[in-house]
Amino acid sequence: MTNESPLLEIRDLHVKFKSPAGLLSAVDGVNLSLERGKTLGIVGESGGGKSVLVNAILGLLPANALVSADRLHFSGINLAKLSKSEWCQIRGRRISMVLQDPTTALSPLRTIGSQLCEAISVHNSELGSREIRFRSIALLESVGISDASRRMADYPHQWSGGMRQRALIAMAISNSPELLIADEPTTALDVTIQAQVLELLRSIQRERAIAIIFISHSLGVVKSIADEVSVVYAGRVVESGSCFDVLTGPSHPYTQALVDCFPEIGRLRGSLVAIEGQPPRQTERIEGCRFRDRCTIGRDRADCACHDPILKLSTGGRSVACHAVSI
Amino acid sequence: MTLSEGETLGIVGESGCGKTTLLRSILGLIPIDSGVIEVLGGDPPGRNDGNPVSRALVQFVHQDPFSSLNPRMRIRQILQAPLRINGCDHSTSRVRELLEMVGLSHSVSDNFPTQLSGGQRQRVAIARAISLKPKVLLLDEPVSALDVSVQAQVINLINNLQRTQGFSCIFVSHDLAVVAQVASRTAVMYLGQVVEVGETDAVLQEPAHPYSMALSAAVPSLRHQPRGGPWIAPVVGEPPREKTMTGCAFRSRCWLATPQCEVKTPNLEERAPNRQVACHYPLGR
Repeated sequence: MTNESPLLEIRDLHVKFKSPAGLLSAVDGVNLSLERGKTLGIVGESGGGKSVLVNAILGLLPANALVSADRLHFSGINLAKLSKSEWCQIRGRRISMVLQDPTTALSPLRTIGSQLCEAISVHNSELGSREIRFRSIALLESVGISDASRRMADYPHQWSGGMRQRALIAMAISNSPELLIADEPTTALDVTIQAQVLELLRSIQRERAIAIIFISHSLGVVKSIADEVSVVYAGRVVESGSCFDVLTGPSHPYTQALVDCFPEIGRLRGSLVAIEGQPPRQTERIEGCRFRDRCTIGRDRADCACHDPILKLSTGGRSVACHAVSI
Repeated sequence: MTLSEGETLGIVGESGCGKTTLLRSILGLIPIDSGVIEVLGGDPPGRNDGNPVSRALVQFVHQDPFSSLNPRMRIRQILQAPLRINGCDHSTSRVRELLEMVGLSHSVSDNFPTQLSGGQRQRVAIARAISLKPKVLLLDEPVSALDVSVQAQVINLINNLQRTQGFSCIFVSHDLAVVAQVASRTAVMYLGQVVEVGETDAVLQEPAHPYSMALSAAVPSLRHQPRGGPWIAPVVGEPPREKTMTGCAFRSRCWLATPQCEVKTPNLEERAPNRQVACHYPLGR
């Protein structure tokens, strides 16, 4: 444990959306913290609130979103109280992001080079164009693009998905951010290219001591890159702790269920245990634990039916929100 | 490549390897330039000449459950259409039977596809595909668009249906771990060629072709991973843009490549019982 306060600290974050169907609850009381230079993995199925969570951190939620939190602090700054111009100093500079689809994140009408240069010049208006170009080329080389100088003139459609994602990573690290948010960055990539991009992210983190939030629905991918993990279900963190420990020995039934249905080479055919049912819809009001309906343990327990379990700290820095887990 | 009766053959490979093109050729949707495709003793369906096999016997499940079902038709109508076209029983009870076979309640009959989840839609697509009692079922990345817990449900469903209905199945996926769950034999494709084929467990766990090894090693695993990430086989770069006519297609990324790999194209050869590999320097032999 370091004496430094965490780089990112979130306590009791709620995000609701106003809609014709009523108030939709997307994130419902999430706590998490991230130290400098570490990687936090966020796993969970679609609709669990992972992307809404990171958009709340980045201040990119739509106008109909209602955000409240006890603490939403980045490096001591209260993100909930930033003005538009203050956000411009943070986004792309101190906090940057890499998203899932490298095709739509790049403009097809401009060269890779011009987009990378723009990412630098927007935050470094004092630099001349030659210096910016020089830095852009160096960045492309650092993310493994060979012949970078010539390739600056390429258009995105001339590059493969893996190369585009590398370009986006280059843009994301161009201003030496303290925090990089990666939302399913390798999901659309082939598996050997995914392995290369994950290795690239790991080496960037080692060399530049950037903290990373890595969102994925794949437990295997998160295990290969994250130090800590938070498991999200229906807008809540249900388990968090050391990534290795949580994924090799889960405490929460949902985490265990995710592990049980994760296909692996070498796993006995027919041994995948599917999770019955589906996650609750965002408008549903649920008594008790929201995982209860799909939980083999909680289905018949009275406490699971009546009381919503709170995330509680247990041994070894692990936190679990479950009545069936003794602390 | 051969598919035996009652067998599930997995085909794995990354983008551009030709696996989807291969399926479409078997379905008769794409003309082939050379070679022979024989389906159930006849030609692929849909041809005007030769001896085309009936379309009903070779059915297909698409990757995307969101675009493969007509959004303007109710589930009931989607399932009845192929039955009616082929002069089969398309009564309400047949629809109910099909829905039951894929684990869906009869209450979804009147829904539109947009009212169902991805997993439910994929079940409907599977129900539609087996409704004509095909002998061959082709599945193109059937679970790739689904959440992991739903993937498991659909994988289990496909395995069960195959046991009860007895169709032969080709399961195409880029996800080796998923293929490991369904296929007894697996073929690995790279840039339009089969580079290795054999029993699934053997091919994925003791690969003979360097590309198969790179693929297996790159798969993120929960079990076989030390802290700090997987060991990644030294395959660098990406597949070449232009396919070379001579030599091995994988040589530009292969750590075992020699000058011979540049001039001599390796043929798919039997290197061990029930294992074929296209490589001059197969591993482990």
